[in-house]
Amino acid sequence: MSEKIDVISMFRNRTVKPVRFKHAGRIFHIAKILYTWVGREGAYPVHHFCVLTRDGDQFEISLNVYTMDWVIREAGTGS
Amino acid sequence: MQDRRIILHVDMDAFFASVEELCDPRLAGKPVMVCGHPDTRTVVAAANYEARKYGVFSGMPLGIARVKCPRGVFIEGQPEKYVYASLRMNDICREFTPVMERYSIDESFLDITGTAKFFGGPLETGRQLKQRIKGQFGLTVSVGIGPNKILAKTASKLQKPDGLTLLTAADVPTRLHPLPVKKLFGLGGRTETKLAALGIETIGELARFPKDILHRLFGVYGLYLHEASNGRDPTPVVPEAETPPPKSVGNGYTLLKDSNNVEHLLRILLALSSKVGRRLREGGHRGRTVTVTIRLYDFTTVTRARSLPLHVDRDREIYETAREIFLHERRRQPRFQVPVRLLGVSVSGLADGERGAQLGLLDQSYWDKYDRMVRVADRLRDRYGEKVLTWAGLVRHVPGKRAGVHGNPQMVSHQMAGLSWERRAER
Repeated sequence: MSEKIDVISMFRNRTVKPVRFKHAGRIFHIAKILYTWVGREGAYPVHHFCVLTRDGDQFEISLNVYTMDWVIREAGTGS
Repeated sequence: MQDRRIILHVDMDAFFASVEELCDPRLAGKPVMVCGHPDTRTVVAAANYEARKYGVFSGMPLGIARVKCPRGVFIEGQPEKYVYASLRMNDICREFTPVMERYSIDESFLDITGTAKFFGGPLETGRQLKQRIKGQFGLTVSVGIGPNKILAKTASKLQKPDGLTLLTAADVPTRLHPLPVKKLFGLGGRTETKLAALGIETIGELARFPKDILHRLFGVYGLYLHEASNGRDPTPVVPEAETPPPKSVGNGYTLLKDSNNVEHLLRILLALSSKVGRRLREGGHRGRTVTVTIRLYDFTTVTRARSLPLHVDRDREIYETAREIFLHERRRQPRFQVPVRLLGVSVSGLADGERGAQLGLLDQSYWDKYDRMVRVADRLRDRYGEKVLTWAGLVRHVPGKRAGVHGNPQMVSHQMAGLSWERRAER
């Protein structure tokens, strides 16, 4: 899974924090960032976020700082 | 003087599995195993403590792990995730001392001899380090403290997970000697078997065994065994900047299914040679000896090497040498003409040597063009990632191109994102 998404995010103290995003026609509010890491695609850093939404769904979303595209990579529903 | 050192060993608890649990809290309490792609023949890279209760351990083939723990959760590992956390944790370690040695992705040694007093002593340093890592990542680590690396590492294993243990030289007879020999740092399974044949089962028995006999039986390693089992180790903590350069660069690959198809196996060799060449060039190395490892379906493993007249770092030279070795072995020994399970290619004898331009009958103008192409390809990969270009020989159908392992090397872009070079070669 690798689909571009629209994300409202907050830039503060040289870090980026996704706040909510739109996927499959729905708005998801991020309740908690579970884990973050920075990988690379070639020379460009990609910031990955494992997030938990208010509805209890889990997603992995990422931001490529060269293309400035947000992508949803993995989705899982809460148990 | 050595006994005055204070060495701290940090060991992340079930590291890969713990990171996956952070990413997905639904995994909490479940047996979790991180491995390669679960549909391939892979091994368990890390098992959490729940999975270990079922007898699963790192390095166990996935098939066996599935039998032992059928309800376990198998997760394909994402190395980037773990490398990032590992590097950030090392940054935290460096806040406590500049003398830090990264021993592996989930273990580090810190020499805190000169800095422990600033944090309230060795145990308090360990406690603060654990708190910093837990606070920043939510991950637990086990910390061992001792007068040398052997005792520090042994200490961290004594209390896991989330342990903090101090071992002094005075503790050696009571806490190190009763342990089985396999717990001694640097002692592997084969040595354990040899020692068992001598009636040595505990570290204490090894410590009391005559040093000269160990020397005779194991050479210099026997002297190490004697010193280590007595809790002595003069090895310094070597910070990364002082780490010696690698002696070889190599890659191996276990096939999805055993194969006796030579074309298919050569494609794998090409993929591996390309990876090794790229890593050599990235590190600024060239090597003179190409080694091919062939593991047959019955786990018989053959390793053959060939030295070249000059140092090489080009994919093509590595591949052609590896190919010659492989085909020569198959021709020479009919017993090798059976399905292959694993292939490996490595280049050793690394040095800043003169580049080998005379391999084969190709003239210099060919190599000049080749080098220009590889330079461009490397720059493209540096910029856009490894997936942006590959050898035509690794792509089965390239419209208008001859895609074979014997043809001229041609690079093509492709849309096979997400697949490793070897996996592409297998397609």
